[in-house]
Amino acid sequence: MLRGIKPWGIILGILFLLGLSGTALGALGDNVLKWGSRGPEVTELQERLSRLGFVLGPVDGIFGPKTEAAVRRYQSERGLKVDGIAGPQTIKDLKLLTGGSTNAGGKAVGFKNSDVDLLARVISAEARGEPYRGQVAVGAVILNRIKSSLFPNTIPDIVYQPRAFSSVDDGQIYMQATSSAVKAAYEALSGSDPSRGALYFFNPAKTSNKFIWSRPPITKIGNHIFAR
Amino acid sequence: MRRNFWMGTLGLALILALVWGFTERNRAEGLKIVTENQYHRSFNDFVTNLDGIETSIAKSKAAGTPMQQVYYLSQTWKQSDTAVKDLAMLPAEQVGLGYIDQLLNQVGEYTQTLTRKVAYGGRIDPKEEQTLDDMHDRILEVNSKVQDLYTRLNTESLVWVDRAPTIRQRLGLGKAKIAEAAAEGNEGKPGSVRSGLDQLNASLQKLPPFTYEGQTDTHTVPEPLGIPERTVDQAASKLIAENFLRKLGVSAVDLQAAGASQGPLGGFIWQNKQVVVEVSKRGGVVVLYNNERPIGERKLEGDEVKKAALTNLRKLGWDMVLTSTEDFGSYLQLEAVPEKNGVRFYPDKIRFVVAKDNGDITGYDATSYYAYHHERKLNKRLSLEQAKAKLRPGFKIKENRLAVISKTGREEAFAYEFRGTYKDEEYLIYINAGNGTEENIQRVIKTPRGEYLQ
Repeated sequence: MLRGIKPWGIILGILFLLGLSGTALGALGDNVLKWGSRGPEVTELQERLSRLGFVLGPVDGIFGPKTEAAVRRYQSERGLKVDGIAGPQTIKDLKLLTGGSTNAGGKAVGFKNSDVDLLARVISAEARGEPYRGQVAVGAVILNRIKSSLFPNTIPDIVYQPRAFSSVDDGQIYMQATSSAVKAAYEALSGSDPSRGALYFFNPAKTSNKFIWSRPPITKIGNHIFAR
Repeated sequence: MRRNFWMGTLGLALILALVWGFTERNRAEGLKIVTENQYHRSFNDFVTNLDGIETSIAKSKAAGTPMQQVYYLSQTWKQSDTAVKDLAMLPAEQVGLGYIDQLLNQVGEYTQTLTRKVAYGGRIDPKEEQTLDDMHDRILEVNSKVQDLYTRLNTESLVWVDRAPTIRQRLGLGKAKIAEAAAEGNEGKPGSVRSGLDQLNASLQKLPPFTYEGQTDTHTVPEPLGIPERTVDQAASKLIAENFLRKLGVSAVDLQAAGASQGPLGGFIWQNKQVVVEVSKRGGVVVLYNNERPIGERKLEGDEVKKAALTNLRKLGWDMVLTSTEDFGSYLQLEAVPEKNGVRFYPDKIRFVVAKDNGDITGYDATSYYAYHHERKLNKRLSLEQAKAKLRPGFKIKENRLAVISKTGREEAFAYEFRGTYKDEEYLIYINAGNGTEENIQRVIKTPRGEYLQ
């Protein structure tokens, strides 16, 4: 039977299999991913990283310089060894952080905090470049509005209220949130409020709106004044 | 020949420009219709819900059985919720329609409180009935104004938002813009739906908001209960901040004044690069601390971090128990509360952040503690066995203790806390230790960052 196959055919087959293994087929975590890796595993890695706000350009399944930089930033922020290689420890950590939630019996119940992403996007668009405390404070303003009777009662209703946020009007909110904004969103949701109960914030250098200036100020963090 | 060529080119360009302009105009017109359809839908829905609220309140007042009362009251809060949502989708000039929201939210919240009361077998007393009557009157008024606006929208094809002022008006030669007049509270026939709503909003602003038990507008810290009786000046606050940092082992920090904050727990902000400490003026206590230093590689894991967290908290003078832990990889976000004679005081919590590279506290927020901590009179009328009997059959208790919990608004309850499972799900159930009411149910979810109460 084997007589029919030419030696170069076998060589070609082996080369083909080698090529396949180079494109890293399999589930995320089966292989160490580093500069030069390609394939669906890399795509999954990239998807999970960008979900957490580690911006790496298009999700293309190619482990290039941007993906490596994102892995490094992830490792550094998560307190892992920073080497730019997505090895078992990094991937385990990433899977843990981006995994779903379960109930006590182990049944998957989804992510359970779908609003974190929206909150992070607003924080990112409105307070990019502000100190971390200022980012948490912007998140807290939105959550304070939920608690106030003067505003609607859900995060999307508040964020998309017409003219409430300039980043919604100009579409900046659809940009990927930064990792510090994602962190700030979680911190604000857990109850942290550096704005001390503010319902409004504004950049005094960029706002001439009479109404917003008339609000009693509470505190100033970075470039933003937070007001009641 | 040459002239003809140029004429031809220009003519072609003109035609192309006309075609382009026409297509763009059509597109813009199409987009406008799509947007306005959304507005119409929301406004229509708003009108329907508002009318529904009015009707449901009226019926709830007449209802003779608890069952009907509960039905119409819950109908009211459901409709108020939707009306607030509808309102948030209408076009705006600058800011929201806060006072219309406030009325609707208050009606919703109040009817919800009453629903609970009636469902627990309580009766609506005359004072509560009066508040409900007052709310009904206000809703009636708002309802008729909104319906008027709605009719005008359909008959006079009212625009949604006022047109931008003309140059003449900007120079102050024309008459004042209606929206501005509305903001100042002047009545007059509104020129757009938006200015009509602005007028309504302004008229509601003049009326006092309702006050009732169980109010939950809690975005601000109330009059703090847990601060020492003293007021500190800036110099003293600096010493307090430095002392705080010394206890945490943050040495040789040259603090600079970085402004002040207002409010009941407001005070002086001290800063040095990544370190920020806020000391309250009243009471002279550290309410917030943040250290945004970069966190190094993880050295501590699991229980080691928690141990370090409690040790460091003790250095600040707090002997507490951890009630919640969220793992963010390089740091933990924690909550701790005091426990005395087996009773946990959940409102008096301290939130803090511990770095996993060396166990240091890098974030601290004692706002809740200073706002809510006070000596409480704890009345226990139910025995543990009596409380257990209030739980549903089949609920398997894993642990139990006594605790003070926050209720809606600023109220608290002294309750038995039961942690246990029912059909594969884990819950925390609170039974009031005084009157046996089931105060709260929390579902325990396991997230990648730790336990989460829902």
